[in-house]
Amino acid sequence: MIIRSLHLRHGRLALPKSSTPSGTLRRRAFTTTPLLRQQQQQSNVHSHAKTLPSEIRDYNDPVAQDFAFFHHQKAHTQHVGSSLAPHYRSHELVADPPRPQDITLQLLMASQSHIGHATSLWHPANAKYIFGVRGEHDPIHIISPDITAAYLRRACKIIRGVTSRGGLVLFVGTREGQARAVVRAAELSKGCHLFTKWIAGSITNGQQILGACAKKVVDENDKPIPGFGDQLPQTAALKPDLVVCLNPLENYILLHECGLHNIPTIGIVDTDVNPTWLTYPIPANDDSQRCVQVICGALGRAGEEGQKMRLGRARQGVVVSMPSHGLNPPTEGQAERDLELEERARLAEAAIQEELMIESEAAAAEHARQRRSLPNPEAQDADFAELAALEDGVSVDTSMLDRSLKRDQSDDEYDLEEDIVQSYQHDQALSREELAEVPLTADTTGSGEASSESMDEASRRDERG
Amino acid sequence: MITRRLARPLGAFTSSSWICPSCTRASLLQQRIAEQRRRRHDVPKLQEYDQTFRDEGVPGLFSPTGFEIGWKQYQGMIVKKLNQLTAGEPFENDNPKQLVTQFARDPSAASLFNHASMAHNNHFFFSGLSTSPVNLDDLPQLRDNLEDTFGSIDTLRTTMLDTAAAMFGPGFVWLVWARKQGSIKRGEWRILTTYLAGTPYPEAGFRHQGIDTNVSNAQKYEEYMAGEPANTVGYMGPASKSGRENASIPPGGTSLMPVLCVNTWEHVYIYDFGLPGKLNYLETWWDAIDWKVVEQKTPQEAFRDFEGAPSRYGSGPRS
Repeated sequence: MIIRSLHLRHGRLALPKSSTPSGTLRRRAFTTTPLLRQQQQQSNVHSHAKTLPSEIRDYNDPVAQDFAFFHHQKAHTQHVGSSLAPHYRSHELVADPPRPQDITLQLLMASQSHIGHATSLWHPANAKYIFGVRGEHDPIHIISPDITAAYLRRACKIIRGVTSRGGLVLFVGTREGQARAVVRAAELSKGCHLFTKWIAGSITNGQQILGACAKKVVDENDKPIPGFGDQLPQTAALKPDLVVCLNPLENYILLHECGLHNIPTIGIVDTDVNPTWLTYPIPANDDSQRCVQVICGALGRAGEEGQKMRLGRARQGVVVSMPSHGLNPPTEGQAERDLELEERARLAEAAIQEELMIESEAAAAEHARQRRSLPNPEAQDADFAELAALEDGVSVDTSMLDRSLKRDQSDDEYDLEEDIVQSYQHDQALSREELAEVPLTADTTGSGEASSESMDEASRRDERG
Repeated sequence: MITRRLARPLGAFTSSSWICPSCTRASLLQQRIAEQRRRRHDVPKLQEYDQTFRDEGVPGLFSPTGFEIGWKQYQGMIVKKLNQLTAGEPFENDNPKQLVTQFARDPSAASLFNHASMAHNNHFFFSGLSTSPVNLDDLPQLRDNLEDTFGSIDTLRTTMLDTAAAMFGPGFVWLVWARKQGSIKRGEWRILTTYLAGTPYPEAGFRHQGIDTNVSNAQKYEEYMAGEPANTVGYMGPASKSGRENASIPPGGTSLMPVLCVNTWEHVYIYDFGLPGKLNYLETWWDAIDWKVVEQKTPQEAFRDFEGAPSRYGSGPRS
């Protein structure tokens, strides 16, 4: 049995993350929900274990009240009337996966694990896993469920061994519908998951592809140890100690890389898959989602068992693995420096989050304002121009509209209004002196009085002269 | 030539499994096959009192034979029929409450609804009984809460028992906590009657009706029936998010939690009290209620007066 053992464990994050504490916006990594739940449980005062899930923080919130009522009613009325026999519920395969002890031939058959591919598509190397042929017109191979069970139990033992010695397991499932199972299994085994395309060279060219991933050093109880901040950037990129592949047919490159680096692989081998690609094949149907979830669930549970064993031993001070990390003991003052950098990174992250929150609040306020359709003073001209073009739009400044309409009318029509406006503008353009000289008949304006005075003067002049 | 008419069809003499189409119906055959499968529904266990009830009856209420008639025989009969009705169907794994909600408005599934509802209601009634019932005086919070609504426990008792006695024909009388939508109080206590196999849950009522046809015209109704809007409009109304959520509750209906019920079907009390002994049975039942079970079924919000107000008793029994 090939087992890679580690004493001081590397960090487990598979997503590229900036190794520098300040600067770039960090992607929202896969958060550890168990820790969050623990924190909420501590702060929660109102918790009744039987009826209410303990994740509610503010019990006085109306939404929380509705939630509590709904769950209370469900809990007390769901099973009233008859007791239902246990039956298959698809979500349970991911929510509560079967343990290796729960693997039975009936379960495997019900999960369609015995159904292989057409006989013409088979790989002769896995002849020993095949029970026989079914069907006359389109014959398919039938995989023996007892062989599936035996190989699956063996694979569970491997995973348990690896995880109990502090190894890192990578669960890979790149087909549609395998993501949830893969994530859940990695969660249980405290390993890594991959449900998108494997980037070729992640193991062989690790320093290039995964070089930016942050690493951390933890002790036997999985508590981080500061003081290696200067050495970690120089260490090699992380490699898994065991790889579980749910669809080997599409991941040949991954399996080849594992082979080059002596990483053992476990995988589901259908009748058309080459079993030599894997160290520990599990002959089963890789096309049935139910079958894949059963197998992945059992492997995840085995990993969980191994982790439990390891942490139990560690609490008693027993460590069953050989160190092979290549790190030197931390230098003087490095631990303090590491903690400081971590604190700075945490504050930077908090600041970024706050900025984002403010931005989102502003966007929400803007959206609310637009819905209430209050006029935006900055865009007023453009808005009204648009409104003026609409039939039902109400525009405040109708003179522009009227004028634009009137320009379309024929030239033969006389525009009295236009004439008045133009003459008014013409009058406005004249100076006051010029206006005073203009003879006006009877008006009460200032200029009129001035002119009447001048007229009187003129008449007096006439009378004199 | 004399032709003899055979007593049995010729098919009986052959060893083939073919039966003529007129002698079988596909659904019957399927059901017969499905019945031979493992039973889905079974008579539920009455917590830890199951064996005691069978041996000694319900203390102070039913004799062993009376309990057998009311529970073992009747519930067994209902559950057997429920198995027959759900065998091989897509809803064969649904619990009775789900069946009640789904089929209450489906006339072609009336039998299924009746049996599911009766199974649920009968089990609810028997789950309120126990070998050592807790008195209401030992639960001051619940008692004071009920006194708030009904004035006194005696009034509550009189109202419930008189309602049950006045019901002509079989049914159930329920004590429920009914939630109120859009009011300062979260809900209130109410007494509810259901006849025969009626269900107290409003979710079984007018499902998926987001508009009140009393205040809309034919065109609006047609539009509503024609299609769902792509986006939620406004805060209230049939197209809004809250409107569509509330569409599962009938207009004017509330979401409620039953805490107590009395079975007024005659077969339950006829053996121990006789047919004319209905009122005697009801009075005896009131003294046999296990109020601890009632308190467990009461939702937490019933112990608070209104939104935001802290409970008079501090943090309450379960908070």
